[in-house]
Amino acid sequence: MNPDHARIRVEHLREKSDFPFAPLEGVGPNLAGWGVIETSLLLPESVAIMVGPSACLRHSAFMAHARGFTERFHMLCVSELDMTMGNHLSKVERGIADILARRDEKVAFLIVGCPDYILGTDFTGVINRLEASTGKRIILGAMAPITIGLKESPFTSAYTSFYEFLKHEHRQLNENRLNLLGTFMPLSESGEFYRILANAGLDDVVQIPLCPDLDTFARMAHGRASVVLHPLANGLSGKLEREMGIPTCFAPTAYGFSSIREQYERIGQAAGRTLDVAVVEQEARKAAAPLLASLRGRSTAVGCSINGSPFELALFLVENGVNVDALFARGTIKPYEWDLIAKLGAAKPDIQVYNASHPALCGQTAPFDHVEIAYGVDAGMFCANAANVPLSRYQEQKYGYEATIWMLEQTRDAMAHPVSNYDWIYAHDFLI
Amino acid sequence: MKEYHHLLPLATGYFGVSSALYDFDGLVVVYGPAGGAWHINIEDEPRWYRGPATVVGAGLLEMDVILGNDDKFIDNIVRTAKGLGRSFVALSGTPISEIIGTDLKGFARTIEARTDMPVFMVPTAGSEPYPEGASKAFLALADKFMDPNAPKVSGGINVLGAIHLTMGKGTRFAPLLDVLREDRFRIVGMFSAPLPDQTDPLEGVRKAPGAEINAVVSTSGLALAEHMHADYGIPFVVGMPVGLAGCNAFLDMLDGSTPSVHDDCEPVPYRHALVIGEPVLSHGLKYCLSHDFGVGRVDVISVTPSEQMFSQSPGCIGVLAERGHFDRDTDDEKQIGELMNDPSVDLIVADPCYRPLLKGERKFVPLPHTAMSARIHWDMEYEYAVDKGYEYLASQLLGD
Repeated sequence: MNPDHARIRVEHLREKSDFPFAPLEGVGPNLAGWGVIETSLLLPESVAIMVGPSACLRHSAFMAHARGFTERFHMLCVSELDMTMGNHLSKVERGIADILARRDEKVAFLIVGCPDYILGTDFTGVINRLEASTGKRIILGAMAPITIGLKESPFTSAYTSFYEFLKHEHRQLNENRLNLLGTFMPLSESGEFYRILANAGLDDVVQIPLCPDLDTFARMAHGRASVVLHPLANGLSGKLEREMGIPTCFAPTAYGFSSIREQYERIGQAAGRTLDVAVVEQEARKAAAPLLASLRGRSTAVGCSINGSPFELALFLVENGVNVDALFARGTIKPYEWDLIAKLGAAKPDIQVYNASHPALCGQTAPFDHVEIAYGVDAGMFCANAANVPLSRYQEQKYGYEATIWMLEQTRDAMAHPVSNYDWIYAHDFLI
Repeated sequence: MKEYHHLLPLATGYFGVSSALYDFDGLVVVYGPAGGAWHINIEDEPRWYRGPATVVGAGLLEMDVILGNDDKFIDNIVRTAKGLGRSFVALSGTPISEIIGTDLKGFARTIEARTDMPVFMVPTAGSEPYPEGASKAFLALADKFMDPNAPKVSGGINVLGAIHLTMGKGTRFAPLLDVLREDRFRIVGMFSAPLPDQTDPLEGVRKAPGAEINAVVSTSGLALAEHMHADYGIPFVVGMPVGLAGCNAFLDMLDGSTPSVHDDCEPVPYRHALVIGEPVLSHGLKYCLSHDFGVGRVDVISVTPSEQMFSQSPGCIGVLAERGHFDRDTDDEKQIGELMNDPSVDLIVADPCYRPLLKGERKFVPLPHTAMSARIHWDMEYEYAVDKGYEYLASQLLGD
């Protein structure tokens, strides 16, 4: 089994079934975004309590600790036998009651794993009794990778569940308020996004990671529009639109100037304002020119652990004369990416798209020895000689033209002062 | 029920399987949903980094469970195993396979028939302590590969249980191997990794029955030692020698003699120590603190079961451990926290992850336990084996 089994030319990637099939799940550090705990704990004044076999809890605990949620994350270990017999329900109820008695948070996420999901354990009674006895809201969630591909992902569900804390608000439209959804690390209030919106009179942006409490979070109910930066928030924004009449638009992080301009147009349409980006774009193009010039002729690879779409970044690089050789992806290609893939296929059909989870790819670095710059820690994993630019969503977050310049500056810095891929993964946790 | 984990729950059975088999050029298939194998590799198997695929996941999905798509997974495993050309395939169970009752033994038989490769399953789930998984993996490995007619090796010794979840990087364990070689022994097999001069990664396993004695350095190796005594009459010693006195005592035991206790120690200003970790290594630390550094009272908290190491099993000719009245087995964080904060305790040796349980000032000597902190402290500078362990502890206890 050689790496050829794990790849396809981008021009031939037209639908999901074309993507190279991985007979078993190999390992690439590419599962960015699979974080139910992380998503749940974005909600202010919440605590997460995960229930399941130790093995499953250990997995999530690393993520919770890496994201700094140690204080708000608890685990209740139960055995497979207890779960099968349903004997764990009383223990779970007792355990959660005990934990909540010692916590001030108003909301508890009860997170179960694949075993309870498969067994169809009914937690309704447990939750009702706990809500009655503690006076706190209990929300059931699942850290259940066994559900991948069939329905809304557990972390999207967790994010959508935040609607429960908005739906009872009496909606009073605030003309100047915009909801920003899908951020983990918040966008800076002094950054481009806030500036452009403020110039159009939208000077009150609410984003969940910056909400200190549920009251602040509830202000979203009065926003005039929602902007979604990450697909996980589409469920919540859809509910806000359907149930509360708050217009929404999907404008994910992008690096290409034309993509960014289109996104600002969409945001403006949703908000009913004209966003003036001409000067900002002009300045960004000017600043980007020398940085892009230094990349021309370089061999690059793009991975799927970056903030944004690897296909979109690759397209931007190719359109600006940068040589993209390889792209590392997962089978979960998002609907909006197919158009990008088609454009990329037309612009540079010979780019090889690899399934980063394919077992034939593990330990393979020789085919990528020539790559000089790798975007994403998953690409850096395979491109051993490349300067690795993580573009992680756990770094400071940029949006719009600012993100493009930041990406190019990060590339310049990585080439001048490379940080090893090992350190990005093991010292900085830029993988999950 | 192990309630209220707030730090990290310890690694469990299939993590132990991975730890035991990782270095033998096989393919370990974790039979569960996506993500299980990924997390083992990223967090608990730093040996994975840029290495070949050893631990892979089955990628089980909901409809597979409902529909029982066994054929699909057998096909996938066969295809991958043949494609990668590994020396064996091991199937390891997860909470899901345990709950739905997947017939992994049947899988193994079918895959073996279709690949002509050695294939075995290890009955793990997701709640058991990791040494149990490692122990079962060793037994399966022995059953599959050990050669009952292996030639006898004069001075031959096998080292059992040196898994990375207990021992950390192999370089930390290497000083003990050097001591054994310097003494009179020839290392026949390491059940956890091939020896540097072995081109066939499983050579040590095949030849293991030819050894004169087994050294069991963690509880993960105990069941195999008992099995090898029953089948081949090989006696064994249990212990992980930390420091100088421990090393001497361990070598005495391997020679079949009563260990001579030398209390010619470097006294330290600590009177009551608490050691938290895997039982064999923790008792090795206790021996060192008592006999090399004169700490008056050392209590061991074994976070995985220790009972078997004191069970006076036939074939066991020595245990480098002094069981104390206050030693106990628990991984309950609340209980561990209470013991750590006992006012009389003035020295703690434990994985740094336990430090947040301390409420006041104590001398805390960090000694990572990979089954607890995984990659978090993988690259930390520390030692425990023989004289290197003495030097590390001396620098911690006698330094500034």
